[in-house]
Amino acid sequence: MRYYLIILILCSYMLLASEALSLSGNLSTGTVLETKGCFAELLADKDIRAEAALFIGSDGTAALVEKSAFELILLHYDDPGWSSVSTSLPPVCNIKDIKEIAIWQRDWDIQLEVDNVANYPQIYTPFTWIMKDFDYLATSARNGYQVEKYKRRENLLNSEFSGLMKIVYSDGTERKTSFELEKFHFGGCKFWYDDKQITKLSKEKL
Amino acid sequence: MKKLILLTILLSIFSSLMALTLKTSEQSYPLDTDEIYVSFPTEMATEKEKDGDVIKRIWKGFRLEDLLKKYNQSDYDQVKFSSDDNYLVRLTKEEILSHNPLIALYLNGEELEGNRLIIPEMPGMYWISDISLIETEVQAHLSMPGMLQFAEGYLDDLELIKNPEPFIDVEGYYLAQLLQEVMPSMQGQYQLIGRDGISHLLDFNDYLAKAVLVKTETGYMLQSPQMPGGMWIKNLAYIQKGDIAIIFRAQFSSWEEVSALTGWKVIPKEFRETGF
Repeated sequence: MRYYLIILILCSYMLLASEALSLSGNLSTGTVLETKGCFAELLADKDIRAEAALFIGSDGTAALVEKSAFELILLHYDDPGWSSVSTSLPPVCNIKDIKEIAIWQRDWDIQLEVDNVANYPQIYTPFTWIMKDFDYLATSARNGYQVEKYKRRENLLNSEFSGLMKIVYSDGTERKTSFELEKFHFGGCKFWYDDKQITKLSKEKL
Repeated sequence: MKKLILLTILLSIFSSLMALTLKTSEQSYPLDTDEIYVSFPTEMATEKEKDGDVIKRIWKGFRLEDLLKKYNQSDYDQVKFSSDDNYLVRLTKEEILSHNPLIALYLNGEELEGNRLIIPEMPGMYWISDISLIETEVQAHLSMPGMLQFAEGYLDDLELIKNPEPFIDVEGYYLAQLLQEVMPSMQGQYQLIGRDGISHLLDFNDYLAKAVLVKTETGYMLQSPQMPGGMWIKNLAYIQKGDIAIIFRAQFSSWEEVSALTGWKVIPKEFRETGF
């Protein structure tokens, strides 16, 4: 009995990573992965539907992977942190020290409409808000799977938020205010201003 | 003397601008077109009817196949040709082998200012001038998409834009308005196919970021200030990036027509069940 207990504890120790891996993007709430294993199964265990995912390394390198490839990706925890490994997908999928995985589901209700005098309003879901900070580098293909490689860039959009802006909150209320960037906050899955969830930001003409 | 130096500098700048490069997956080769012409001189006659007259042209240059053989390029799926003005065409290996295109340096005995790709059996839009880069590519063939969206389902909810910049006297939508709704990331490479079968693989940032879907009587014409007019796509029918495809439903009446245009070998049951 004692041996079984020791084995159980050891297995648990091996399975449970010392640091949880953040999931963000088009999810109702931010969540974490704590165990290693097949990425598709880890998502299924948490009942997360995803059609694509962006694996983001702490060095800013990222790989955008389609759902069909999820079962070919193994997540494991080792020094210096979480890593993704796949022998069947393009090498770009092998990311060391993953900082975060952003999840994409299409037709996502949580959106931020940004109307800052561009030609048309830009619609961001939490996932595409994360994506906007990455530059596309290349597409790689292997065994019929395509993976896009990205590199993090400076957040250019936030600097455009200034002056008099109309803010629409998720409860439908709105206000016009002189925009203060430090009050704007993206929490990984939702957009906030002054600790209230928002759905639209538009630049007001003076 | 100063004038001579200036002329030499200008000529060297001009010739470097006109330079042709062959790029493979391993290496880039600056090409001396005169030297290749001397090694593989080829003549090709073309005829074109205009206003009832038949215009005959004699082109001289070298075959693309000879160039590729010289640099031991046989393991490719397609070849991309691009010019400095951002014009781009691709030929599949099959098209190259069956049509045997010529890279012309002379027309009717006179030296061209640059060069021109001559493929008599293919439409004029493929006859790219002033090629600066020839690139062999191992193509990821248009794979079967896992997710299909109908463009009209999104466009019908948007307000039609009058005179979408920089175009005037037209109505339409920005392509990005559609892509931001459908794709996880707008950046990357898109395969776009017109109803006439003209297909382009284009990078979003280089060609499509400012593109407009201009509404016409027969559908949408893809116009972009980042693309020379000859590359604009009439009756845009299909867009695919990775696993996701957008179909312009009005261009088709059945899945079989979609399959014929895209080259899908089978039509998945779930698509058939969606109906048309």
